[in-house]
Amino acid sequence: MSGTTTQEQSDTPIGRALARRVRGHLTPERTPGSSAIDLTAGEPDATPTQVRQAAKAALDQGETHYTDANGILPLREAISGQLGELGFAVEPDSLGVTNGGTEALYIALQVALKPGDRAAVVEPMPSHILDMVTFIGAEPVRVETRAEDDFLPDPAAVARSGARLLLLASPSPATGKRIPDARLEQIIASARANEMDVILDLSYAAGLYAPEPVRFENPALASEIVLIGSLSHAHGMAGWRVGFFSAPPANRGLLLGLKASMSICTTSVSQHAAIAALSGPHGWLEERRASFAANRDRVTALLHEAGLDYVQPDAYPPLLIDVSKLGGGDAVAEKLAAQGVLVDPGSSFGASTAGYIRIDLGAPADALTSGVKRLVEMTTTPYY
Amino acid sequence: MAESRTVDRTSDRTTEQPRNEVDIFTLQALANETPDLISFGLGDPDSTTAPHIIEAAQRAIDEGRIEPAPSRGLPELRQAIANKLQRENNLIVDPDSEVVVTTGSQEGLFLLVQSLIDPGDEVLVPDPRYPAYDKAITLAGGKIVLVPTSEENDFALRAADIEAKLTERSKALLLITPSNPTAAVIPPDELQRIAELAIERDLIVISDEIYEYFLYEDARHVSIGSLPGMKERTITLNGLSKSHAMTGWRVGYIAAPAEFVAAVSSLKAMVNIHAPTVSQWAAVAALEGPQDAVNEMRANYARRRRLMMDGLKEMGFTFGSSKGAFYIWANISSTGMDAMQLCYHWLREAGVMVFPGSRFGERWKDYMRFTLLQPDDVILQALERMDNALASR
Repeated sequence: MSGTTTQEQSDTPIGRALARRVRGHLTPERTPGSSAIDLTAGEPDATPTQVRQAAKAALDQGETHYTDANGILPLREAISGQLGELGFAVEPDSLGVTNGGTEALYIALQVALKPGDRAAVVEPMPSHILDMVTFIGAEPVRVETRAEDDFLPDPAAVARSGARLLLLASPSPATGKRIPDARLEQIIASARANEMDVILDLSYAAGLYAPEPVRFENPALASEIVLIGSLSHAHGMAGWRVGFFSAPPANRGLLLGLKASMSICTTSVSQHAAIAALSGPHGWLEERRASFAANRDRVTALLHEAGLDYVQPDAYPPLLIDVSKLGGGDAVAEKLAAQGVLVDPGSSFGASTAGYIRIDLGAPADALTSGVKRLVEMTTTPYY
Repeated sequence: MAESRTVDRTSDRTTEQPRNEVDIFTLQALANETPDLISFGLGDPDSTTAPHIIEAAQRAIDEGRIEPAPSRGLPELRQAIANKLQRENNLIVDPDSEVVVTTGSQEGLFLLVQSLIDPGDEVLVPDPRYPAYDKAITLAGGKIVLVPTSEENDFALRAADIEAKLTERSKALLLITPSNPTAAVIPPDELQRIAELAIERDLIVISDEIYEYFLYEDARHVSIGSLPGMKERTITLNGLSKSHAMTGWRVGYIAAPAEFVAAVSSLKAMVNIHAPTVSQWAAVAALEGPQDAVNEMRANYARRRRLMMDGLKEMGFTFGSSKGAFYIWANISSTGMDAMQLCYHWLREAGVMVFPGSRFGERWKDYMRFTLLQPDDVILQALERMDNALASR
């Protein structure tokens, strides 16, 4: 095993004492900014002035205490409003604010799964989320997707999984592709008919280039499933750690209870920043969308010129680039890393996308240009 | 129907409510409807975070130091923590490999227990105890083994009582000194005996030191990890919520041997990536800046402790020596009511909220936990109201 964080069990008191499930392969730690050209993440300081001012003002007003475990009401109202615009009618009381969307996903999985359960995870999905399923003691059943279908889930494949829980994301964190409404509804409805719990990760939904709410023929379906959201991607506020879940009434108490016992509440100053980000004015988000669109067009033009394919994203920030003819995602990521350019290999989202690399179109403009140029150069020089 | 099935199929470990759970949400809802309420409930300091800490956070925001941080925490904060541990706790740790920053010490507890406990492992926990311990241990599949404490020993944990509870499955001992909820401080000589026992019986010690700054009379805090032979088996848990009145910021930390910190950091990366960046810069200022606000809180709590103890004594309550933290753990059996009854009685008749002892363990029905987190005049007013409510039964 070549995992970067493989634990060597040593014969020290603590080495002998480590829990079995944290021995062996673990989620790699993150150390941002470790490379000159980092195309795995967006601009570090994307938070606009109005959000910074709101955070500072909250501190001036002494907002330094615990908040309600489920999050402060004005934030839950703002999230409810945002979900409404995305096509999901969710009351503020159904929501729990979390320290980032990842914490929300972990809580949802931990509540839904027990050891031995099978969980259908629709690829492409970041590997640390599969790690969560394994860590809980459940068995991830990867639902593979195909390039010809833009890596969108096939309802029949989901139905065949035989799992008791379905986890899927729309738009996809790897491709930025949105699952078409009818297909998404069919998948969720058929999962529900098969008594599966459903977790739908909407963390990238606010980043649609052409915002358009989801329309289900049966809108009530949304209230039967757990929804996950985040301010890290579309709003570029990853450092603040704000995300959320909404949960059906039957297990809402369990999710909130686990949240409270895990981390008491979500950081107060971050919650106030999040209110300002969601409540508007939204001019900065429109500028952000336009800037992503410009980056997308610039990068895809370079790729097109070099004869490299990519998956046309519906939402920012990801762009998934086909490098199978350059030796595949792992080889290209490694080769770029040797030149100081960091990208995510497609394999970190599952086998379906192993021939690809993923970049974040929010990376600083010059980094984006020079990084993609290095990639393009590989098409004219032998890679072996 | 689908919804009830959702509940039925839900993870046993998540649904299993520790038996000492008092429905704190119901209690809080009643409290919220109580006019002119005085609360001695939550352990949230009444002080706001000190101005220089807030300014440091605001400067970080202005200067754009708000980008994602490493899973282990900002290097500057890990260095500040290592400096603090060396300066104040006689613990020498490497900031790069032996410290991890968490989103509050409660998350630290959650992460460390998940990294340490396999199903069936026994964790010794002093009783009464903070309810989150039960949740974290139960979720990992561990077994909680309660080590009793008693009023006659000032509720301080004793090595002999721990030894009596050891089995072949004993893996870890959880210490919290000063204690929540009992305010007990384990005396240094007893702590030494506990350390010797841990070494002899190969126990890992989880040392929760969140209340270390709040000590009264002759009480002294010793970090068990600083005792000979203990560093290699001690996981020190701490945070800034109580020490620097920073509950809302969510910054805690763990200091432990490198291989354990690596496991926790990896879990941290999986569960929520990193602690909020702005909060981490605030924590650097809290640890490295002036400590006047800490000293002021300490003086306030010492004064309030006197007021509270005098008032409670007059009502006929007893307690241990209560030499630490910001709580008084009082025996209310002289009222003839159990803690839950008295809790509701005071809420309704006195407009005062005090947590019943049963929240901290099912056998503590004769006790209540009072916080010292109200100003002097409010404490005096509450004491009078509580006394009147007792007289008017």
